[in-house]
Amino acid sequence: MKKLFTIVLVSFCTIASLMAGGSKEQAADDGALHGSLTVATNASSPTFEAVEKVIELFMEENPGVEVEYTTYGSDYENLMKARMAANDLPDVFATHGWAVNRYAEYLMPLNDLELSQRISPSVIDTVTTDDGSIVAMPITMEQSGIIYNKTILKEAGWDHVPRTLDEFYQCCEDVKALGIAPVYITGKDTRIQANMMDIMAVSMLITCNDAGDNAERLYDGTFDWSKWAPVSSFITELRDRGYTNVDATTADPIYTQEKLAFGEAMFNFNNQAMITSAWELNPDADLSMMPVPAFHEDDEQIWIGGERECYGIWKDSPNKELAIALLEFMARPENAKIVCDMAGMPAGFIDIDSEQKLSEDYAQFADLKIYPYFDREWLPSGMWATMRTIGGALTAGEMSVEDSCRAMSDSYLSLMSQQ
Amino acid sequence: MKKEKQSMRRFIGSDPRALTLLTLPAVILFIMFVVVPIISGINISFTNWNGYSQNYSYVGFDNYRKMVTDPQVWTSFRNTLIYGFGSTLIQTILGLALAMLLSSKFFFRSGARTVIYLPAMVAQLIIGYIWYFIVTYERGALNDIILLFGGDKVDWMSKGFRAVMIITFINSIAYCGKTMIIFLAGLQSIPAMYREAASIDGANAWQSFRHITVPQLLPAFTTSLVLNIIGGLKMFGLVVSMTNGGPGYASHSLSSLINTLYFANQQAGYSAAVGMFSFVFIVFVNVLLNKYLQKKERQYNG
Repeated sequence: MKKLFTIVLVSFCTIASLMAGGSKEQAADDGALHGSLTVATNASSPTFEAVEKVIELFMEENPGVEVEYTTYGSDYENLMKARMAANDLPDVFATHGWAVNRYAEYLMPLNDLELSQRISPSVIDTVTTDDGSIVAMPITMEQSGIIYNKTILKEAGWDHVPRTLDEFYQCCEDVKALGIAPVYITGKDTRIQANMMDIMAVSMLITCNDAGDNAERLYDGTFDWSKWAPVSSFITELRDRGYTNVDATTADPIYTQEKLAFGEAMFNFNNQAMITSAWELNPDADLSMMPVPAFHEDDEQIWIGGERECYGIWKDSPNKELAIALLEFMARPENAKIVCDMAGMPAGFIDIDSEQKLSEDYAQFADLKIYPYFDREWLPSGMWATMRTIGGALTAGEMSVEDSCRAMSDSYLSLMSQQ
Repeated sequence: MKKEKQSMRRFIGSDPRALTLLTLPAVILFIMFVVVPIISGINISFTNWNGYSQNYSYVGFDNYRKMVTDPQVWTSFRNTLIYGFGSTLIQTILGLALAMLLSSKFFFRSGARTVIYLPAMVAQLIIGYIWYFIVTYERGALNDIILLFGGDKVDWMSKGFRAVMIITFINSIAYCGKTMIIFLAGLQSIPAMYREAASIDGANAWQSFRHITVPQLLPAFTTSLVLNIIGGLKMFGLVVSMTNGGPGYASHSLSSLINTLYFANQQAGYSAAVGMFSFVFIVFVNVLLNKYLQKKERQYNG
């Protein structure tokens, strides 16, 4: 009896495995894809759900492919750094604005793919290395300035967003009079102050009418860092005039979403993703994005931008063929549109027709130019750290504006000498 | 099978040195997780590595030179001393007092011991986050209480030195339970006859505490001081969860600064150099402390 059972079991297994093998070969003949793929991102909802949906569609179209899509959330950067140091990366991963400066040496150039021809001109530079390799595919792009609350703006007696820095300060004064925190700063994580300086520096040092040869001097290492003073002063001015929340040095970033959603803060320096997540708490929050105010009266306002939800392929991935297929699938207009619509972000491709809540507001400023973040274009890699340190110290009053210029200069010179 | 066992026994019995073989697993683990990281840390501290690239170059003593003039490092070093010695002082006093109290018999004694020890079993980060929501400006429990009594809200962690003091205090009360357990064990090992003899000789409570309890507790002091000082000098979780080193960099400890430099600032080489400094300093403090306390123990034990 036992013997019989064994025979039946063995023969069953053999038949089953033969059948499975047979179907596999047949499918391979059809040219269908097989295998598994790991995809990692730092995206949170709703962007994560949007990309997840597209990946599910991909798996439906390719039943032989198993894609494991995970988000590491706020741990993403540290985990990816550890994985880069070990040279062991996911097949496809999100580059969150750092495609060129951080991940380029691990990414496969995408120039030969058709999709690279469709990347929007306003974002393509941010994913292209110095030698012309396009290393990542931006599904959505960022077009940032300052987040503001339209209702509060009206209540403060303004019929337009502040156009210049002076108007911005005046607007802060009017908002402060309403008893609302004009600029919301969450200094427990000094990234916010670094981001503020990163945005304002473009307007104050690059696009203003007296910028002169600042850009060239920043590239060749001869920049006079006393010119940084207005950028640091922006932080200290806000602090000294009482235009920030009282707990600007200690507030945790987790509060931002709620403060914006319920109209307890007027301005915040973040990207559109913060507006989208505030809408999750309160869909009626009257939030929008305004361009960066001009430094002088006769300067232009500007946008700051770059890639947003953006994926690249690990250059040593054993599943490159699959990874390319996935990227091509995600880049199809109908799929990219899903992500843009759900995440509420402008598309990184030229041929996507996506309507978002903010589209109308952006349309008002369609003529304004988009510039990259200051540190990604005009500073040597590593200066972000210095900007975080001085940003935190300036808000806390531990550092004078002059000291912060000196700290920037020291760090800049030492990083330039290492290049 | 039985034969194998016997031959093993014979092998170990033949030479006492063979017994050292049994330490092999521990030695391997120690080398893998302590020696190798220290050596690679020393190596990294001479580079400009950013923490993730496959490429980096050696920069000699640049990182160490930079450290000397970096106000972040010195502020963190000062804070580390406060965290280390400040919380050791408070913890020892509190722990000893609690141990004395809880070694006397009263109702709910074992319950009280558990409650006091409980926080020591919770991860430092969790304790930190709980306290963050007590002292935070927006809807912090402490500010809610102040509002209830008609006061004004205070942003407790916004002043550097005050933040350092608050963190030291929280660390002390969270971990005084550990110190208490060590002292309790020490107290129970003191034979009752010494105190009886002292009371017959007419010693008062203070005298018997000063001349019998304290000297007899010296081994317990050694253990708890060393553990507390190392714990304080390594302070990390509370700083990260309560202030993240802020405002600015005013409340960083060396450990949290090393973490920030490595991960946030991408200065792995510099971070490793600060790490080496911290390592050498902790070793130095502990060697001195151990030497001193062992000398004291010998003095008392004759």
